[in-house]
Amino acid sequence: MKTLLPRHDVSRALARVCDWTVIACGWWLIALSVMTCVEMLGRKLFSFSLQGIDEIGSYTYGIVGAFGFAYTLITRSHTRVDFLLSRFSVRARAALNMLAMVSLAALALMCLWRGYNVVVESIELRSTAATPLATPMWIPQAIWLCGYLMFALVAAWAALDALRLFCRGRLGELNERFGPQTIEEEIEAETEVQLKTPAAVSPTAPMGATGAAS
Amino acid sequence: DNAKLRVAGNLVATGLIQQTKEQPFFENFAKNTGLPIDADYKPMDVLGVKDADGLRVLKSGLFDVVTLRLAQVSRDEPFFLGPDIVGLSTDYEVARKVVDAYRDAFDKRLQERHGGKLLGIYPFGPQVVFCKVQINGLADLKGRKVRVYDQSLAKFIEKLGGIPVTIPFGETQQALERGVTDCAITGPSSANSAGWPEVTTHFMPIGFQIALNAYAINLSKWNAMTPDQQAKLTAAFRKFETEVWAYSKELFDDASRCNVGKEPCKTVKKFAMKDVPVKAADEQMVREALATVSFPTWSELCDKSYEKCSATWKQVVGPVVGLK
Amino acid sequence: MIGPFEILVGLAIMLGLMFLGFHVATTMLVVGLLGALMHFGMPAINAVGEQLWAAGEDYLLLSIPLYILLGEILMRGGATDKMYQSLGQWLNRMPGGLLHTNIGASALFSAVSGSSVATAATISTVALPAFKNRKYDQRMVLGTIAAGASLGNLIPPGVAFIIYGSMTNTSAARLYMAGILPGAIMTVLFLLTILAICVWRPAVAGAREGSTALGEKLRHSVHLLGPLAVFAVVMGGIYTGWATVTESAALGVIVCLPIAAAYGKLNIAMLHECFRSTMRLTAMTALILVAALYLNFVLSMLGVPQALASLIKSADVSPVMLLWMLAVLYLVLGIALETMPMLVGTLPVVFPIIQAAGIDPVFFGVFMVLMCEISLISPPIGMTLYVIQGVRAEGSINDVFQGTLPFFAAMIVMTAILIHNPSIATYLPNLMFGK
Ligand code: NA
Ligand code: NA
Repeated sequence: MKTLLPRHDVSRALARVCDWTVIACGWWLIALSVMTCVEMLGRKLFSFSLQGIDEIGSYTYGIVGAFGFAYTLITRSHTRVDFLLSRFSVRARAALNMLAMVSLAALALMCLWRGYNVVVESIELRSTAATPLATPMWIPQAIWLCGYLMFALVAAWAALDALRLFCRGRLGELNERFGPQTIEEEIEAETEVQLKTPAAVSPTAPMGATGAAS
Repeated sequence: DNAKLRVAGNLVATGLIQQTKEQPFFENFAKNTGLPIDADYKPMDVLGVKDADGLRVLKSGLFDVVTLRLAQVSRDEPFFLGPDIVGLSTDYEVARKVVDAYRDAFDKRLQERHGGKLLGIYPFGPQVVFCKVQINGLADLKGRKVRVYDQSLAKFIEKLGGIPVTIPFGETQQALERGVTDCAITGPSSANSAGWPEVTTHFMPIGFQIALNAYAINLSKWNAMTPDQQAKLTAAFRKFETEVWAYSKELFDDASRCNVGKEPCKTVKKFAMKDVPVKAADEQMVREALATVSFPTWSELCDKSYEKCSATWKQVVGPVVGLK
Repeated sequence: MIGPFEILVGLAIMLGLMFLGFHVATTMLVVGLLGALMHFGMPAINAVGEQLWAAGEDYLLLSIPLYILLGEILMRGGATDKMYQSLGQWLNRMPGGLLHTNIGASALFSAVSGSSVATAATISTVALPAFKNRKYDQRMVLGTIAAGASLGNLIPPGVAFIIYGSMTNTSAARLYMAGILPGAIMTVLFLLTILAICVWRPAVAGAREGSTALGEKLRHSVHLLGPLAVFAVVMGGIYTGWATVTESAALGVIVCLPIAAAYGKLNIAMLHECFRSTMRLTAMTALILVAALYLNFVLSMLGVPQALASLIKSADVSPVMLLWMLAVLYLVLGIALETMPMLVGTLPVVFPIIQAAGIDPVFFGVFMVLMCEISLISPPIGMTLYVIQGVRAEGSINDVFQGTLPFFAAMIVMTAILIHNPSIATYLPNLMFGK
């Protein structure tokens, strides 16, 4: 899948870390599912309860979502409306793509700043969840903030690149990398089917449903 | 034109006290206080502000007056759970004494640490037991799954030999019906409104906690008032607080009667649950839990965030309940 | 506190930025921050942090990534592919042939997946190759996939139900039960639509398929068991009281693993692909959700929902009339909006109105999800339409609209059925869980 990051060592490092965190989050979801099943069976059959699975679970959506932001940005999947955009001139499109990227980066930085404040306040107040686990709040919040940190880093790096391309007048390249996903890419991202190249529809592709009606 | 105070009120979902006491009090703020001030009153669940963030939105100045749900804000300030740990304020009489004894220490901490001034404290009422299995006393909770909502209650249930499970309030009715849990603990009135009596059979009106709420005003707003204004505001909240205490007790008694099918039953739906009388042994168990489970659990946590926490508690509340 | 003019300006800024290609989340946050800054100053801006954290701290929301992951494992594990083939053998003799399979497979997949986008992606993956060289009318093929995808949320489990439940404090388990009958009726309506079109114009359906021997069909039907087993576990877990909604999603994920293994596709690389896809879909939703929740917070501070609610209350219309007004509103909004912004963007305003009118929140949840599903197939913004447009990659977009048009009409019929017979939504939950 096409990335919006420039060819650069920093980009490669960022992309690798993002991919790694996404995989880690996935395994965490699996692990949490296993623990949930143990808790459920334990509660029903053996009258014991792993205290706190639901509490850990309640932090998970926020954390997993935050870690996904950066990865989703790299893969250019954050939702945009390209209905009108695609009708504009190259120059206007480049300016808008650049502005969209810069404003997203600005918001990511703002979220990071305010999120940082939440963690600092939890540390200062020594906030502790009023639950059986009594989790110090700064722990899940700090992990969550790491997701926003990644998001802000990736967004800022990409925004700088978009600005650079815009100032140097490399508008085509800018639109190519920072424009909304084209429809083909979007489908490819969701389905792994490469629509325009029939060669991809080979028997080894994941959807060899050719015998459907036979 | 009157000055405006932004008020974050208790959750609409909490029911009658919010609807019939709190909202009217703030909506007629100028009249009730005799001050040229209006309140822009909105409940926290309508605003999309989490009740656990009460202290933070008070300090930041986002709201001028905030309802603090003490069990929830104790996340940021365990000291505020002090008057309501399991086994302490088990009925209205004791709770009243405990709250009055705690008030100054509470206010001092609120001013020093959270930029707020205490205006009043009121209880939702004793948190009692609902079961879908037969119980004759607390001892029968042994081996049973019991829905709890916080740490000290979980520890207490564990001590009784029960299995504490944590389920969000909104899912509890179904959890009871489907047997995810055998028993659950909350106030009789809110349980009635949420339909718990439909899915449970045994009602035991023994109080574990009394679910306290406090009102606080942002300290700089408070300091900007003249002494005369401060006095009027204090007096108005004092009067309001007394009213709510009385109303809360009325509601509790009425809902307790409604749940077991007794008359008069005016505020909530009538059911025919079995009334499990509270015996001396049960009360003894709850009282013991205070000294052996809930105070140690709470004070350990609280001392970490406020070094004088348990010392203060012992000093002000100790004499009330005879604990040293 | 805020006038109608200001509300309109805010809405115009949001939609304007959206159409200029700014990220949807950006447009919501920008309008929210502007409103906050103008009316409340820095404290409201500073509250962004708490709002961001609070938006995600919810056990129920955990079921969103879990349901998406579950669907990914089934798809990449090859179970969906086989399910499609088996359904094809049963349905391809009807007028319309394989077109029915698209609806049937979508309905079955919807019964295990919580996301319409995931359903669209999955079914197009397995269905598109089957239509190659079969001379079906392309518009109908794509229209049926789009229509089928709109069952993704309506047939439980569904992410939209979870978000609705979490925002309005309505039980997700009840919402799930409420979605079953309308989902089934919707499926039948879609099948009838295909039938009607193909009887009227047999040419759209390509050549009749040869029949498969009954024994062969039955033998192949073993591939339907996997998805059905997952559905039974997820819904059964909730119904029997073994599991809460989130727990049953976790259970579903675990059950999918041996199914993928049975097809010989379960391995680390495949799981990692599932994780990447799951995280992408989750984060797409989550960014819009947190931005919209902050905007909602500002709107509530300004008293916008309450003002509009009292306005409609004072107009004093009947509940049925109110629902029709809302239906029209959502049809219009659906033109411009995607599911998530529509749901989370309007609920804080609309829900107080509904409560004031005495409309059952569980029924209204089903109504809202149906409205969201309609927005998915109403142009120009809707993930499902991107799929359609992309598959065509030629010709005018009008052809694509024509493909979804009959199904769009079927969904309007469904809306009418639901509004005038609210019990099709409330019957099952009331039966299962009591009133
Ligand atoms: Na579904
Ligand atoms: Na749309």
